[in-house]
Amino acid sequence: MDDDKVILKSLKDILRSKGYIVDTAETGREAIKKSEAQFYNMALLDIKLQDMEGTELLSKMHKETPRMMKIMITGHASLENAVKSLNLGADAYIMKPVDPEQLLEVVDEKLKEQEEAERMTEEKVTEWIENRVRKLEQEHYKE
Amino acid sequence: MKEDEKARGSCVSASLTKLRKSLVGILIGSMGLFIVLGHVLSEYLELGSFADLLDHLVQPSLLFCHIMDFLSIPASILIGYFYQKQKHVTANLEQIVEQRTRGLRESESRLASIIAASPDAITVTDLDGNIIECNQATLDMHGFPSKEEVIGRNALELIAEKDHQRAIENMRKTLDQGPVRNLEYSCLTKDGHEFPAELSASVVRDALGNPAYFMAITKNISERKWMEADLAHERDLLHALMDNMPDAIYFKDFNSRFTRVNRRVAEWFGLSDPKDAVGKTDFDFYTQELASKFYADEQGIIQSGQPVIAKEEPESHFGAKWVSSTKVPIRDREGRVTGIVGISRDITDFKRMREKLREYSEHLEETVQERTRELRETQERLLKAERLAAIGETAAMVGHDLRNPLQAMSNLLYLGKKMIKEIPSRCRKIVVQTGIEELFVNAAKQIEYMNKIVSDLQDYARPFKPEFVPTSLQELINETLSALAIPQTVKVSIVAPKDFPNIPVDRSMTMRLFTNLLTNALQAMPDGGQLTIRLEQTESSTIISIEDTGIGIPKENLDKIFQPLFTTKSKGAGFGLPVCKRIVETHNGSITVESKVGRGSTFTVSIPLTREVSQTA
Repeated sequence: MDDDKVILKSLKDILRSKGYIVDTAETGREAIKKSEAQFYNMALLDIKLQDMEGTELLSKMHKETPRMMKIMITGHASLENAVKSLNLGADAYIMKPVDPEQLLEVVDEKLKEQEEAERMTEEKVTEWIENRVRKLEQEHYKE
Repeated sequence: MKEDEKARGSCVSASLTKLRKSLVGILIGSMGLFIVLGHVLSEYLELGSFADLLDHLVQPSLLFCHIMDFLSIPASILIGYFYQKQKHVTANLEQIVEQRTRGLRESESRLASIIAASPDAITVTDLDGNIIECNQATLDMHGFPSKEEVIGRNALELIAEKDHQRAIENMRKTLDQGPVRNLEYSCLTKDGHEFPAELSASVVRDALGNPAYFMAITKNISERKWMEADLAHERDLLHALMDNMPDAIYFKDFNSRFTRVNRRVAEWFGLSDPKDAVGKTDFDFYTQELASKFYADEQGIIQSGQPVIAKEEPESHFGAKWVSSTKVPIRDREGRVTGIVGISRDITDFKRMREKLREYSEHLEETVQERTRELRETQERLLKAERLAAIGETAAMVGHDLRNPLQAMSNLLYLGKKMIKEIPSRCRKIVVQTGIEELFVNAAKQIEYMNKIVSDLQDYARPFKPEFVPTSLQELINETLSALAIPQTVKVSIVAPKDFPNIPVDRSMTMRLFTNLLTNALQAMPDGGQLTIRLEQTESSTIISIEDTGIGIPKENLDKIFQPLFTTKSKGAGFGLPVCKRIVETHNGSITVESKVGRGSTFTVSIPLTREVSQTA
């Protein structure tokens, strides 16, 4: 998501070249709408937007779609902002100007993390079910 | 007239009296004669003859009678004669008395006129003080219309009650000791007004020398009293002037001798009493040299009648004391100069201050010029700073706006590079030959550079919010060094005292500071060298110095290197040192550089220990 069309297009192309499926949004509202309509693994958000503060967008998204990875792209680093963003649910923080190589690395890393998390969750659920079943069986056998 | 008449009258009556007196004598004489003749006749007639008459006359028994008869004639003539003489004597006596009385009356009236005409009041009283006689002047002085109103009163009625006691005593004194003179009393008028009078009194004695009357001559001295009061007032004024003025005031005669001086003069001369100066001259108190000058001035005034006004002259021998003297001539009624009066004021302090003022005004211009120069310099600096600030702002804005296009460029170049990589290998060789790959690589590098400039600019223009935390500088330095790529050819040494304390600094800023300085140092020594980092503590500040043995900085660049956008490096943005300066200034410190071309440079940062935090720099 970015309010600059050229950047939007070029970044989309870069990510696509790596094999990702990319959707773009120019405003915060558009981004929210799209993320509600469809599940996305990750969102790249510019912290300064036309219609709302990046942090506002972030908290909204986190409420709606907590499982989506959110990476903030920002023009100026300040510890304050970083802490704030992370507290609001951002998963990573990148400084502008964004080096495409670096960006791709981070995206890759975060998606892997997500996968891990998913798998962990899956595993956990499976484990839990197994435990429950075992318990139930035990109880049944007792009777 | 009256007297003449009287005189003539008395003459006539005198003569008549004489005549009368002689006639009586003659008559008495005649009477005697007739008595005798008668007797003889009668005898003759009795006897008849003359012879008988004679016999008769001689008869002894009748002799006595006849003798007696006979004697009666001369007797009565004699008696008549003496009576007449006596009458004559009496008439003479009367005349003499008449004359004397006349003389007396004349002198009495003369005296009375004198007394009446006297301008002073003459009052005669008895020994109890009751007024017997007085003159017109008395009446006028005491305001009585006529003598009747005065005569009979006691003299004390004409004297104010407060002086009664004294008057009585003085009357006694006059009696006992003699005349009293010029006593002052407060006398009264008929209306009861008081006026001052001067009285002289004496006792008038009778023929036997016993006191009979008091005589007093009184003068109304009101006018004199007013004049005395005026005079006293004038004296007081003069006194006030003389003794209360801080200046020396002195009167001199035509020989320049002091006739009168005030206390200040006595002070200057070291006398305890101004009167001690009278009769002396300047030669008694000053050196020959000074006194001669004063004398010459004064004689000049006396000769020419021209005053000397506000002359400034030294008054003590070494010129340690200066006075301003004004001397003017004193003239008598005929206009002749009889002396001088002078006033001298000590102007030593005044003179000194005047000198100072003169000095000061002479230097004032210099001072003003200097100040103007300083002011102009400050103005220039201010303008420069303002200009830089404006440039900075603009640059920051521009940098900010450049971000997006640069980002786009980055992205596009990346894509371009990728596309080239994905060209099938058989076409690749042709593509590479055109050099397009290299082109993209270079373009990307340039974009990187541009990004760096923009980043640095943003950095530089951003307001600082420092957080001061006690930090170990050594630790920071080591951290910085580890982040930099230090070539083997550079030897690094850190010189610091053992227990170097932690200094309150902003950690990230200070790290940036060290990064910039160390990077510069390394860049200055592309072929290797010595990099020395020193830490020092003084009473008031912490000193960090970074020394390299690199190429050095030319003198003409030394004051430019801290300006933004100044760089001698092909790859530099020119913000490294300006950022360092800002960081140092945020810590209220200062950064200086010493450098020699070909030898190396030393950058010294000094941070004061007690700092006033500047929140934004």
